[in-house]
Amino acid sequence: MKVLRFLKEFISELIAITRKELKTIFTDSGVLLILIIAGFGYPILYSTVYLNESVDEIPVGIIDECGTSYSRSFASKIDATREVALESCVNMEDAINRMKKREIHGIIVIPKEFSKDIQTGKQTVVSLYVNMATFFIYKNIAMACNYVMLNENKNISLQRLSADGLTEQEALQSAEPLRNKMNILFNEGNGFASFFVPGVLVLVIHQLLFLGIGMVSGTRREENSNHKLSEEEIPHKKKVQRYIWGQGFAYFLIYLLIGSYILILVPRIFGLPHYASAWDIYRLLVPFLLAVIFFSQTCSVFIRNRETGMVMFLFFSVILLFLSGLTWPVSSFPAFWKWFSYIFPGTFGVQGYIKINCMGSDFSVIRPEFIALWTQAIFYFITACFSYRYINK
Amino acid sequence: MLNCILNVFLREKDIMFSRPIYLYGTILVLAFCAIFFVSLMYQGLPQRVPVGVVDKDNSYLSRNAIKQMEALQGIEIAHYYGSHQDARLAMQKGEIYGFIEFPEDLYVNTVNGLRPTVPVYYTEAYMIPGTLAYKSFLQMANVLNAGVRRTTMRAKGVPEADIMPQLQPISIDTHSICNPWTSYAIYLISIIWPGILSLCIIVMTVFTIGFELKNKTTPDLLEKAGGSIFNALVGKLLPYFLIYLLLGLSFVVFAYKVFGFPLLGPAWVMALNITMLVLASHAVGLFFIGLFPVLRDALSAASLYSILALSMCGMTYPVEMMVAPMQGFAQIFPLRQYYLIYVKWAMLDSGIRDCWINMLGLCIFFFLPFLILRRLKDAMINLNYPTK
Repeated sequence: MKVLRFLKEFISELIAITRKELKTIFTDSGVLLILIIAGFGYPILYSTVYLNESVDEIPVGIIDECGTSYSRSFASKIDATREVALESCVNMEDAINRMKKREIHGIIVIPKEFSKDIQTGKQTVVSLYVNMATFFIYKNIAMACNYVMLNENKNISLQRLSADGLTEQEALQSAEPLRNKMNILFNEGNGFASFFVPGVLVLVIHQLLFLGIGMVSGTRREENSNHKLSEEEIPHKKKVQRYIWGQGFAYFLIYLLIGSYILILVPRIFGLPHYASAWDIYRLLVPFLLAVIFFSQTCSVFIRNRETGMVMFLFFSVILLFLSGLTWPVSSFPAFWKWFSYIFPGTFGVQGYIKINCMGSDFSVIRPEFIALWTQAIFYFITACFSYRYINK
Repeated sequence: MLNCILNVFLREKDIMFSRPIYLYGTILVLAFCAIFFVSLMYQGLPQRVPVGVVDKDNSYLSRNAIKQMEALQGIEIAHYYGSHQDARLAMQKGEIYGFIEFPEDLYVNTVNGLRPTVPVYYTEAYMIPGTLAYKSFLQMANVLNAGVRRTTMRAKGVPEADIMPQLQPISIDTHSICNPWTSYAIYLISIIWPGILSLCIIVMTVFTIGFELKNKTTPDLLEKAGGSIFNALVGKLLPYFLIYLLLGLSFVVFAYKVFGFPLLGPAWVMALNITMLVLASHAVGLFFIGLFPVLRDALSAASLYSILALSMCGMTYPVEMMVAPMQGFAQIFPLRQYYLIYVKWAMLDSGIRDCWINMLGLCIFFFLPFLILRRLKDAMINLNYPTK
C-alpha cells in the first residue's frame, strides 16, 4: 500500500510539473518559434533546398582541336552522359572567359593529334580542367569523363583486336579478361538529398530541443533574482529528480509528435529513403529524445540568461554535423575528435537513423548506437540532477 | 562626433570585459572552429578508407589483386569476409564503405577465357568515403585487367613501349584548378570558416544591441553618443568590427599565405572580400534588431536565418541546380556573394569585370540598416517593446 501511495503521489506531482512546463512553453512566443514553428518549418526548408537531388547536365566547355569525325563522336559520348552538357568553345581564351563568368564549370581539351595518335597506336591525352569550388559539380564532371574514357578504351581495343583477325569472342577475352561491375549499395540513385538531408533532420531535432530548453531555463533563471531553476524552493533533495522528470516529460511529449513528423513523415513526403518501420524509428527516437533532453538540462548550468544559449551554441550545429561522421568519415577522425563526438547524442542519433532508415538495416545492426543512447540518457539524467542541485543550492 | 563615438567605444569596451559571453562569442568560437576543422581534416582527403574483401576463389589471381589493393593509398582492407551477407552487414554497421567480391573459380574461368565478373559494392549513403572507395576500386579493376593483358602481350613479344598505349589508348589528365591535390580540407575550410564568422557576427550584433534594449540601458547609450543613433551604433559596433576584421584578415593570411591555399587571382581580393563580408554581416545583424527591437525575437529570427547561409551559398550543392524559388532565396545571404567573388575573382582571376555585380550585391547589404534606423532609435528612446 505504501508503494501505491508513493506512486500515486509521484505521478500526480509529475503531471503537475509537466503541465506547468507545457504552459510555460506554450505561452512564450520565442520558445514556440524555436521548438514548434522551426520544428515544422526547417525540415521542409532543407528538403526543398535539395529537392532536385542530382546535379545533371552541367555545362562544360569543349575545345576540339582535332576536329575529325572521331573526336566529334568522342565528344558527343561525353555530351550524352547524364551529368554533362557540352558547349563548344572557340579556343582556350574563350573557354576561360566563360568559366570566369560561370557559364561553364569545366573545360575539356581534345588534342590536335587525337585521331592520329589512336590510329597510329600512340597514347593520346585529353585534358580536363575543373574547379573544385563546388564539390558536386567537380565530382560529377570527373566521373562522367572517366566513364566515357574507360568505355572508349575498351571499344578501341576491341576494334584493334578484330583488325588483327580475332573473332569477337576472342577480342573480348583479350580486351577485358575480367569484367568488373560497379554496384552502389544504399542511396543507389546517388542523390545529394538522400545522403545529406536525413542526417540534418536528426540534428534539427537535437539543436532545436537544445536551444529551446536552454531558452526556457535561461528565462526561468533570469526571472528568479537568485538565478534558480524553479519557481518554488525545492524542499528536499529528492524533488530535484521530479523536476527533471516532469519538465523533461513536457519536451518529450512535444517532440515525440514533432519527431514523428520529422523522421517518419518528412522522408515520405519528399521521397527521401524510408526503409525503417515506424516501430523501429520510435525505438531509436525514444532514447535519443531522452538523451538530448537530459543533456540539454545538464547544460542549462551554463545558461544564465534567456538568450545566451543561442549566442553560445548556434555555431555548434555545424560542428555537430561534422562530428556525426556524415561527411568526413569516422575512420579518418583523429582519436581526440572521435571521443569528443561521443559526448553528443546527435552522433549516435544520426548514425542510427541513417543505418536503419537509409540503408535498411535490421534494428540489431544499430545495437551499439541504441545502447550508447540509453547510456547517455542515464548518464545525463544523473548529471542533470547535479546541475539542478548546483543551481538551486 | 568623433568624441561621441570614442565615448561609446570606451563604454562598450567595459561591457565586453564585464561578461564572458562577449569574449566567447568573438574570439573563442572562431578559434575553436579553426582548430577543429584544421585538425579534423589535416589529411586533406580521407586516406585509407576501410573496405572489405570477400575472396571465394583464393587463387593466385585474387591474391595478386588483393596485393594491388593494399598498395593503393585511398583504401585500406579492414577485414576479410566469408560471404556477401557478412560484408553487406559490415557496410550497414559502418565498418567498411565498400567491398570487392572474387567469385569462385575466378582464376580457372579467366584462364579459360570465360571473362568472369568481379562485382564491387560501394555505398553512397556516406558520399565522400563511398566515392573514394569507388575510385580506388575502379583504378584497381583497371590495373588488374591490364595486368592480365600485359602478361599476354609480353608473351606475344609486344615491345614494352607499345604496351601502355595499347592498354589505355585515351587517358584523361585532370587538372583541378586551384586545388591540385583535390583536397577536401581546402575546398571546405575556404568557405565554412568565413561562414561561421558571418554567423557569429550577425548573432553577436543582434545580441549586443538587443541586450541593451532589454536592460533599458539604451538612453544612457544615446546620451553618451550625443543623441545621435549613428554615432551610437558606430561606436558600439566598432570594437566588434575591429576584432572580427582582425580575425578575418588573419584567416586570409593563414589560409592563402601560410598554408598556401592556391589562388590564381591576387590574395588582396580575399582580404577585401572578407572585409566586405564582415561589414555586410554587421549590417544584417543591425537590420534584424531594428526590424524586431526585442532581443529574443530578433535573436531567434537571426539564428534561423544565419544557419541557413552555409547551405544556401552553394558550396556543396550548386545553387544553379536548386528549384527556382531557392535560387532567388540564395541571394539574400552575404555568404553567397562572398563565395562567388572567391570563386570568380580570387580563384580564377576574373578581375572586377565579371564580379562587379557580386561586389555590388555585398554593398547593398550595407544599406539595410538605414531602413530601420528610425525605428531602432524610437525603440531605444521610448523602450516601448516588451523586454521578456
